[in-house]
Amino acid sequence: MVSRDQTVEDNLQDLASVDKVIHEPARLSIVAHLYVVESADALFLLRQTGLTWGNLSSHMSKLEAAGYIEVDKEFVGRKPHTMLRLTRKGRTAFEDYRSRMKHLFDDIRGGKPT
Amino acid sequence: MAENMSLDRMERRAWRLYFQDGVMDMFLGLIWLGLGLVSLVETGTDVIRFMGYVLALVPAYAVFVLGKRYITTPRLGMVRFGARRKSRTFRATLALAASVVFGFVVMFLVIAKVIVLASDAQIPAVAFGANVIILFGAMAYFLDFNRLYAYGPLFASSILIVEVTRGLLGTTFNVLIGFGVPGAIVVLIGAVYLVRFVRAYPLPRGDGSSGV
Repeated sequence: MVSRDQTVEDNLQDLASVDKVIHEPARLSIVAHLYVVESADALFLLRQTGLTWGNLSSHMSKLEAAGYIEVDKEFVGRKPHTMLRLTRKGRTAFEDYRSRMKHLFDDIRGGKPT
Repeated sequence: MAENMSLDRMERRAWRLYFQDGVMDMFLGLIWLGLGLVSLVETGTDVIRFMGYVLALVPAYAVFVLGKRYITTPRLGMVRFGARRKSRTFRATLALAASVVFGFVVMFLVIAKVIVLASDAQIPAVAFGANVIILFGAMAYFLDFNRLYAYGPLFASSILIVEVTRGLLGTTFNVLIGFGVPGAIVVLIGAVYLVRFVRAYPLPRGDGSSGV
């Protein structure tokens, strides 16, 4: 039988090990939107997330540095265009994050208030 | 499960946003309007009439291609949806192709007199109407574009209007009214959506032209 203190401690450890890159709300929104599509450009993400260009650019740089998104340069007609997609590492990280958070909140829901 | 549903909702909201520009509505309405206007070309051979039908499609395609390129994409950005959407879009295309083939086969069989119609029979009108309703229903379902459910019966009413108004308006204006009025209604709906879309999504300011 696992004690309530042990469960709380496990939860706190889970919380501490949550991926901080994805956990930030703006980045979570970016990753979630890229998760449900194949690829998208920055304007699409701007519209969907409601971020400013500056914020979006900053968060995308962090996600790119973490290896979670990759940038595809391509031409649409004669104009260069940048498309963004989640990498396999990014997809796995997002799935892992969802799983951890779900597990964490399921445990909290199961506990009783003191 | 709830999380999946939430992600599905997010994807669906993004997908449906691309139909809020009214461009698809105007495209479909202009095709119907064009079919009505071609009835005014009464002179000439069948080839000339056929060319008229082809030319009637040009404004519709122009509005669609130019509208998506110069109005929608600069405002919403570009996105490639996942395999599930691609599969559903492919099925919608198949439904459209099947409908066109069905239409041509029926037309060919009637011309070749394989199907012999009684003088007062309304079989072509019923077949046309059923074909249009089934087609638009299938496309609405596969494309997740609910307005098409309403456009199906509206467009299907064309032949009914043509038949009902034949005696009253003659064989030119009944076609013009039968196809033109539903077409004009849908173009108008599309135009209203377009205006709302342009107001809701102005061109972005800042470094948005090439992605990051």
